[in-house]
Amino acid sequence: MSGDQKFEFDSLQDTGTIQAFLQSLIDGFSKRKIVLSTENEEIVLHPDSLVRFSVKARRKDGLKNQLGIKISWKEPSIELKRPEKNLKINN
Amino acid sequence: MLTFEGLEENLKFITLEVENQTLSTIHFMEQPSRKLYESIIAKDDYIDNLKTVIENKCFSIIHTNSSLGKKGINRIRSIQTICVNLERIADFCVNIVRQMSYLEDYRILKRYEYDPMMAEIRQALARVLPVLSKGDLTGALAVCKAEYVLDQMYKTNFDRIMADIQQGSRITELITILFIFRYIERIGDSLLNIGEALIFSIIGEKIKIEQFQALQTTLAKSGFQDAIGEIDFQSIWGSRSGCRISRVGQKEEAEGGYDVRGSIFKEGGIKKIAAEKASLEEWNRIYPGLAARIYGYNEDGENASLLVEYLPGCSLDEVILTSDISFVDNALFILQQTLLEVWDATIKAEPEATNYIEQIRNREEAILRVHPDAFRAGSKIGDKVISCTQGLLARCGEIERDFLAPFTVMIHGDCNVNNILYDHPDQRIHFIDLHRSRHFDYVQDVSVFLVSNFRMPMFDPLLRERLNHVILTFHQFAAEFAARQNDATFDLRLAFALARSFFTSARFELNSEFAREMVLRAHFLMEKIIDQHENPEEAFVCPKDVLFL
Repeated sequence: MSGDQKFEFDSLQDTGTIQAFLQSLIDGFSKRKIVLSTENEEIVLHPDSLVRFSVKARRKDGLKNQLGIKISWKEPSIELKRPEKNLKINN
Repeated sequence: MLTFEGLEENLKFITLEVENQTLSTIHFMEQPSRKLYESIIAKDDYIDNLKTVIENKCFSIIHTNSSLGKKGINRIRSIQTICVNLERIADFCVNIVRQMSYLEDYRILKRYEYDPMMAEIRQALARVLPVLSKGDLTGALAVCKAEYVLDQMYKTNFDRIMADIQQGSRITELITILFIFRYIERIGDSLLNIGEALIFSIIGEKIKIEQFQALQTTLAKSGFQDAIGEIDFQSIWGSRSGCRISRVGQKEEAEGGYDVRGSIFKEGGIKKIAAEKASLEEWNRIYPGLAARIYGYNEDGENASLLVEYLPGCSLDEVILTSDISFVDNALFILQQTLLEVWDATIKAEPEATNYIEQIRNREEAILRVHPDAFRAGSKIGDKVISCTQGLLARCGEIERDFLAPFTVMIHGDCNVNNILYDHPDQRIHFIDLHRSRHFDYVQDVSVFLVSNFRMPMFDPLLRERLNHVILTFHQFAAEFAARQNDATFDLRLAFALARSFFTSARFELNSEFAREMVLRAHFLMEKIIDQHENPEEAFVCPKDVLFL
């Protein structure tokens, strides 16, 4: 397993175009596979276990609006194998 | 005897100073004088400073001396407690002396019996140093006993003073005298703390004197009159720390039936202790050797005490976290076989209602005390409605009334990993803490066991892998049992029971992020139960993922 992988994206959208992004995520959850890539790198996420879903909304002075959606999960760390001492057979 | 030069000297000084201060106070009560008053006040400052010096030394020794060992640390802890309480006694002396100035005629005090009380105090103080240097348990108990004696004497004097107040004359002075006696009585409380610290330095365990008395009575009833000094306190107070399993286990046979040294003493409210006794008797009937044998039982007013066999073995959590994985698997295998035998032997084919949601409700306050935000309010995101916790509980409570557990077995009742012992040399499992045992749905024990593994605050990936392994293995075992019994609602009941275990476990977890994980899992399970309610109960699949971190 390599170290940290990261993907970042920042943009301006309108209420029409943003739907395409959200729909793409919806499709990803349904397929349990979300691929995020730039020219050099690609991250593939597999949300197939429990996911933590947090929503935060904020309205400041009636002008600045923020809607934060955070979805996080842990890779099923349980390989569900017997821990320790795997038997290795060499030729 | 282990000693700390310098520190022990200081302790000797403060003890002697407090003994002197007590004597001066007695003289002052006999015959007050300005000179004596000033000398007592001045000495109090000195004692105060001495206390600070001793405390600093105690902490500095503990901090800098890494080779102290448990005994050394215990001794320093005792010395610190003793010196704090000695200083407090000196303060009470000053309080008494100050109160004296409010008496118009100090001779009025002589009407009441402060003399024998002060004599008792002096006697107890005189014991402190010899007891500490010789490790004399009887002497330590005598220091504790001074508090009891002083309390009795206080009561007699208190009643007399109150009766005199009723007469209506010299009321202000009588109240002052009442204060004086109250301070004398409080010296007794400090002496008790000192006595308990002495016991701690000798046996290395914190113990309350009432427990000691109850222990003596129980031992006497079980025919061990003189046994008190003979007992291995380590086993009585149930510390199993440092428990390790070796490959070649050695077994020690106790001669002649049972060995009082290998016993556990429990003391507490009559209801809990009596319940534990009844359940031990029941378990010994069902499955001899699984639970501890009872050696003695004694009731005393609202309290009861129980002397039971000290079961050999390590608690299962210790095995899971520290032993080689093959031992863990072996322990789990024996646990499963034992449970199967118990379940088969005690199964009653009468359906019974479960009460998992009610169990959450009963602990609602306790959960909220530790995590005030554990219950969420209802909300909406767009059109999507999010139920509040109370709503989920209410709805799930209704759903729970719609089905029954198909049969019951005798359950442990608190089937936590640390209430199960693994006796490696004998290849046995033992149960402890059985006061909640009853005939009930076995899924309760299954769920408590699973979540007691989950909730161990171990986040190291290797340890977590072990816990996950245990959880997975045990879940599989339970599911197979359910299948063999044609228990069609196992998954549904497991979801209820897990919601209950996760929710109520949060109250033992102060790490708020980890507690939140458990609370969220409980909510998730309740939502699943509600979502799938329209489907047949047998079709419910309990999401296994919630069991793994």
